[in-house]
Amino acid sequence: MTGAVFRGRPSTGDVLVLLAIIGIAVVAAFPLVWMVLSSLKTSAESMQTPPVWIPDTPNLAAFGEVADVIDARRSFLNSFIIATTTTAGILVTSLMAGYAFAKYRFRGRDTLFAILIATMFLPPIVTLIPLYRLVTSLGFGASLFGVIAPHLANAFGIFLMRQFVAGVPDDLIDAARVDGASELRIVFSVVAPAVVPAIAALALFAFVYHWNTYLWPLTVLQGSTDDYPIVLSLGRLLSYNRGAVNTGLVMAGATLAVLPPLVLFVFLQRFFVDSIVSAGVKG
Amino acid sequence: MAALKLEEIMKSFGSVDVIKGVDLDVADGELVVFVGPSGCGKSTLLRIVAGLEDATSGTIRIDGEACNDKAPKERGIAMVFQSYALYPHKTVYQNMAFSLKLSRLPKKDIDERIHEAARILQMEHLLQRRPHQLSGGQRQRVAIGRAIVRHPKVFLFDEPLSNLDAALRVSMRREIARLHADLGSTMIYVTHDQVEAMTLADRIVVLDGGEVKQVGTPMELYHQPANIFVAGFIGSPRMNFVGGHVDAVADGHLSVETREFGRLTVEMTGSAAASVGDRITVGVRPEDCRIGDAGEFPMTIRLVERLGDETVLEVAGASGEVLVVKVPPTRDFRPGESVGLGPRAEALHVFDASGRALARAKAPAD
Repeated sequence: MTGAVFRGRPSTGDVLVLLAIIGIAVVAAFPLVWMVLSSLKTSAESMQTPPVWIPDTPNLAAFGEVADVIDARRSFLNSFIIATTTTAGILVTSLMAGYAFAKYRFRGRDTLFAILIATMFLPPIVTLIPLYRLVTSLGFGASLFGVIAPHLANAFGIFLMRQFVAGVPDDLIDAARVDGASELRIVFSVVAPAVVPAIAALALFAFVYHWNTYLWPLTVLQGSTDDYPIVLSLGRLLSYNRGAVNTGLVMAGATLAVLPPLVLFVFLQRFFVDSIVSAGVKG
Repeated sequence: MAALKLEEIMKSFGSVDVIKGVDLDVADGELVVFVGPSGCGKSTLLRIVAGLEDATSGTIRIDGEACNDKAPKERGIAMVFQSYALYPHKTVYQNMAFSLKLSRLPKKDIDERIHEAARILQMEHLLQRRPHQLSGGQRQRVAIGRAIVRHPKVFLFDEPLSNLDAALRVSMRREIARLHADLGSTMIYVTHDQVEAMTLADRIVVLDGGEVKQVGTPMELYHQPANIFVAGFIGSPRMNFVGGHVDAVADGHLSVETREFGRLTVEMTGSAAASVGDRITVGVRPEDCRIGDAGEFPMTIRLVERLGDETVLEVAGASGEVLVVKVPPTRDFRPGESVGLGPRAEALHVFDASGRALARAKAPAD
């Protein structure tokens, strides 16, 4: 919807679209808002029926309690290692493979790219067991490396980068070759600065996905709680206090867990939106 | 500086032959222009010299050294692209410094070279700007500066002025000519604009369909085109062509019968390879036609283009064949006016059925 729509009198259609957008935004934001509000409630308020929407006396007690139950610092560090290493790996491999698919002419290129795209349609659950067996047979089971290694390359990332790198003028790459740049130098010194929005968007996607990923680390880490990322450790908050439900504690932990990706989104959202818009027009 | 030699260069993309055996010698310090219509292979040939494309066969020698297997950076060339190809995230200074940094030149030398190039191109005040803050002409100047700082053996220009407006193109063209005179470097320049080719080149290579049609100085190509393609390509407006046949061959003269001009006699060299009855094409440049009320052949003016210093007329004969004539602006011609047209016999070009020029006794420029 453009600004011009609102300069004149909005049509009924415009109003309906706007209402739909507001509705979707409210539905999307509700769980997040509810989570934050619940983390500020007292235990009594959390259990109350009908539920208390706004806590009478917002307090941060639950946040302090989280650190008593789980090793939050360790879990955050694990999450950080998993998310940043995987994101860095995805960025490097996607940029290099995307460059090759976009700018190199080689036999079987299009077929290979089609196969790569096809892997995007496989549900992760289908590859879970084979991947687990592969990782454990290589001796990486029950370790952070085992969580990270299989996800250092990603078909979606390669696809996204290929689309953007295809838009980088060939002359620019040829100029760098004439200037004496190696192919690696071209990728990181010439191509990468030209596709910053795509890199930022992919970084955001990858970081959020691997920060939040649950099933894969749960499978690979095989109960090695020292290596648990924060998302797995949150589960321990649920079972804390002999199974008694402690909503405030869980919500406080979840609020903390959601902060890093949220902060990253705030910083990168401009690039994220740019990349989504231009992905629609680039070939 | 260095000489460049191309030996039997061929290039194919799949089953399509785009360069079909090009041989060329470029002398040290010479400015050679590759010219030809779109798709003739001129840019591909330049990219082969640069090392950005591999030749399917043949040898490229720079300074006598075969460099087919050398990467672009090892060939001692610098290239200026049509699209400027400046790194958008780098300043002008950084753009020019990029290749020098990669070759690990000391910082002081890099700085000296950049300031020297900036002084030559009068762009010292632009060094800290980014490409998007520059006009088209300034960007092209930076692209040239980026080439200069490398002190290359051979400069390669790939249609460097095509993206500029007409006025800027003329001034940049002169700047490149001045640069060549100052640096005395070997330069290969690709263009589809024959005015650029004529004004800049020491020698022009005319390409068509991946083949060299003629190599020569601008005036050689203009006055002694080797074939009908070169005759039509070089010169603006292009040469007029009329069909005919050989009427008589005698005594170093060729008598040809044409529909538009009737019988014409052309003085040829002793062994003009033509026989009576052969189909030929006669070519005459627009400026080699006399026009007047009582000319030899009656024509009707269809279009008048007044350019100020000259007037270009489009005239048609009884047969409907359209010819273009360039005349001084002294008389005010009108469309529909009847005029007489007479080609200068000494300026006629004759081409055989295959398009090859038949040797004349004396070229107009001689």
